[in-house]
Amino acid sequence: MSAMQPDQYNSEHYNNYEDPGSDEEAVGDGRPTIVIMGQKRSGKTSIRKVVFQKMSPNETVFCESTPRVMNEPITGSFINLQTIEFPGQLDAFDTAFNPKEVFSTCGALLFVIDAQADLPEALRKMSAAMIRAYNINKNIKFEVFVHKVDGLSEETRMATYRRIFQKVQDDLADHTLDNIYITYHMTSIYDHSIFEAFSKVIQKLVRQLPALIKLLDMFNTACSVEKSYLFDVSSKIYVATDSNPPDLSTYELCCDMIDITTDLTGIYGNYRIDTNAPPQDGYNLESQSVVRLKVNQVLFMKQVDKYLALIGVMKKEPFEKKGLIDYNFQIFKNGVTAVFEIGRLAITRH
Amino acid sequence: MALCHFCEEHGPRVVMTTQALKRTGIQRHANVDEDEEKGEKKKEEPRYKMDILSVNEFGKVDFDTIPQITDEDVVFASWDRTIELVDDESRCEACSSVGPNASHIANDYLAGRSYVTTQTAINEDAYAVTQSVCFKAHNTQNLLPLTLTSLEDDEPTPSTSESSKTEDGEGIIFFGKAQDKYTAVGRMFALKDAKSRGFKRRYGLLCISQNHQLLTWKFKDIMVEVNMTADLLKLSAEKVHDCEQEIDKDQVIRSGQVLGWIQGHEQPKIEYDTSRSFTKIVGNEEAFFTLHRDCVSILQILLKPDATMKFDGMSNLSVSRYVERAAEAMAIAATEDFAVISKKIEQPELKAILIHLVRGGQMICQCDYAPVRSKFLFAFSVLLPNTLVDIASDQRKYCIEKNLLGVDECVPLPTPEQYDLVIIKLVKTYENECYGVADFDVNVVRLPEEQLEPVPSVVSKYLGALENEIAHTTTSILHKALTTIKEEFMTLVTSISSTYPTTARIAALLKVHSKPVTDLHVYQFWKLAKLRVPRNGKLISISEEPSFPSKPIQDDLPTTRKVSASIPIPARKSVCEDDVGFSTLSSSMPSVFSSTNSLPIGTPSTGSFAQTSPLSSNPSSAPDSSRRGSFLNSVENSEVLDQCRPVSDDDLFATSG
Repeated sequence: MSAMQPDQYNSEHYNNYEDPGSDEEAVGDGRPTIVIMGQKRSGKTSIRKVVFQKMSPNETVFCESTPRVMNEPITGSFINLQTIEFPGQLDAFDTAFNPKEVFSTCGALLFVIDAQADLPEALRKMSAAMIRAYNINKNIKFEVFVHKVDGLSEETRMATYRRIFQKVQDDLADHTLDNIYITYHMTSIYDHSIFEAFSKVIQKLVRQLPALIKLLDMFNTACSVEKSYLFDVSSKIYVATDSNPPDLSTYELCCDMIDITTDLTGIYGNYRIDTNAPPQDGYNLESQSVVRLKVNQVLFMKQVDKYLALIGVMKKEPFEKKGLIDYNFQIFKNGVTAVFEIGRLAITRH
Repeated sequence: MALCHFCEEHGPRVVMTTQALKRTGIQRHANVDEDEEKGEKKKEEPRYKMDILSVNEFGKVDFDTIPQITDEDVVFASWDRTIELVDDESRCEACSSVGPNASHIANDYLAGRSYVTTQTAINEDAYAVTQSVCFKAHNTQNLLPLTLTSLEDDEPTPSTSESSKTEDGEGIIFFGKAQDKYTAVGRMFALKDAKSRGFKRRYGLLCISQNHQLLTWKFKDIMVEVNMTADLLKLSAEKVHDCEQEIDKDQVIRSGQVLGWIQGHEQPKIEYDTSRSFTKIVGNEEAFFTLHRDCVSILQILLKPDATMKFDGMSNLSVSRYVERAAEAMAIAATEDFAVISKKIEQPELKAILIHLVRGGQMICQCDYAPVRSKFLFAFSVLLPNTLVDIASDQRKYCIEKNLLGVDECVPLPTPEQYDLVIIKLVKTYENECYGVADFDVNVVRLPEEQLEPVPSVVSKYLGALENEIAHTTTSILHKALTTIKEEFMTLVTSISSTYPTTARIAALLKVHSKPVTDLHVYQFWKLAKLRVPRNGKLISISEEPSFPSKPIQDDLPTTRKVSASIPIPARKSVCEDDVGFSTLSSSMPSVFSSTNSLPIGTPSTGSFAQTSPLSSNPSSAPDSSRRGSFLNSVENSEVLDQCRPVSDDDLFATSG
């Protein structure tokens, strides 16, 4: 374990991972947009409410049918974007919705498919939507959520995935658009797969991601951390993770830790009434928590800013050197702040 | 008017449309080009014939100027029933209403208009517009608050008030599209449904017009009616929903009461019924008919010409003619009510009531339903000259000045020793909430103690008209008969008052013409109509001899215009015939029948004295009594009650000669 050198976080280093001149943040209010589409009753509203509005998955059964296009910005979170959900009964490319304006500022098109429902109609609609969206904006990132897989066996899941993948590829090939890269996620609102899937979608929209990955790698190396995540505490979506392969079980542990910390902070947290007050859940910049696991591992959480928190998993022995970890964390925190500051300056200049 | 909803399967759909169509004598195929119509005449039988589910008519006998083609055809509007209503959209039961080629019809012959309710709009333009409005209404993010319609006049208008993004998606919409030249206002609301996602279904009640100014001007009037309809629908749906939740207890988890212990994998699948029809949700098989009636009422409000507005292409003369016809229609409706009421009262009691009224007595109607009181009192107003009717149907306490007074049953009334009154109580015996019809019994609680004998001639004639079979063939004939009797007696009063100044001479004249002496009592009251002397609420005693001015009283003033001339009121003293003893007070006393309220095609939930067809109307069809002038000022001094000198028979014969 070694101390991280402040010089490693100067702006020259960041420039290797960022090109402010070509910053393509969303126009308008500056928020990237995620368009959510899918057949009726595929689970679009449930996903949105569970991920961003902290609704319990059981309560989503009682959500009413979405009667109109829901355009909601996500506030109170590091994830400064907006979601546009089109009801399954409506055609998103109807001229009444001005599709050119919608999709030209769209960062990602997220299509939700109900794995337990009839697939052909959904796949046909999805292919058509992707083709039309691509024709409007070639920079859109296409994500497919194969949803409601919690009720399927592993074999059925894989079979469904293969079927969807093949059908979409065939449709795109028919239109000579097989160069479109589509990411598939198997999701369910009853476990953490939906959060992880959304995390991956969000990461693609974070321009500072390479710099953050590098920072996390360096922190892990310096502190002997096995796995680290940079979480948005409000939505439990991780904005960045290190280069090590992600592990769903670790991610679930981290989410549970956030839940526990949030609940305890809500009871014992220190609230301040001023403009720099912490979020409503009681966090402040000094917040941190430690969970010692039975398997000789430690989970630690340290607040980076009012929305972001660093959660790391490491062995018990290296964790004893708290002073070093704290020092390295401070360097890491300064680095993250500088990364986003540079991004803000770039937007302003642009 | 359009009812739209968001279907689970099909998205936004127009469920029902009510259109107002002008009545013309020529039948045209609405979807056929004029050139084609002028060309070859179609000889084959029309493939489509509209199914008429109901026809309600108002004023047909008196105002229908369009001859019926055949006995079978129902002539209405400017189109016939051989038109096919084209619908491009797929529909389920939830998206359907009256059926693809069926309609409810309401004919307003007075206004020269027909109101047709169909599943989709009749003509292509209206069809496209309603679809567009429905789509846009359901996609509106910012709705105006529901409290907008309860604002006072100085509160912000729809354009200036802040919109609110309501969580439940309920509110008022107001938008227009210049290129399509339409404006729409409406109420978006949700009905509870135990078998839909989220236990609610989204509906919207929309009012669409090409006339932006019209909708802006009548925004509040429309929204009051629309909100009332929406709230009633919500109430009905809530009752059905609660009943279903109560009955189907095995599915109680649907209401989310036991969420805490349910695991995602173990949760039973809830049975949805996405195609549940509107009638099932509100629990009323006749819901569309009721809605048709309400939409007709709203369109009537919208299309009623307002004296303060100017409509393009409608002259002031047309407006005044419309108002006159409206007044006549209301008078005929009142006569019809009077005919029904007279059958509910025993003959001796009816006679006593009529005698009391024509003498200027006060009749009080006790009933807890204000519209019913209003109708009842209005019915009796046809028996008196317009200027003598002082009607107040919604008083919270006893008021002596009004000769036709309506109060709630709990209002205390004076004892018989204090005032001689007729008190009638209306008791509800039957009500049909679906059709908004109710029946009331008429109970005579109190009659005046003094019974005049013989019966005054005008009362005898009134009773004779009621018993006359010919008069009962149509209401308009009876109305004309009663009006003629009234006018004849009024003419007599006018001529007598100008020719015979003293009561004694009048009594002698009546004796000569074999008129009952009791006519003098009626004469004493009816002469006030020409003299503009306000009533004091008391019956005039014949023993006090009033004096009359020598100068003829101006009687050429129309009853509906303001009387601006004023003459000083003399003090009570002995006045000879040459003195001017009467005053003409300035007063604004609009005629009973000049009200500009909506026409009563029918009345929902207002009680009926006749067998009315279940059509809707503005419940406030009775004249607004608050606009009447008050006769409170110096009632004692306004009548000059002086002693007259005795009249000898010589004088009498000299005069009559």
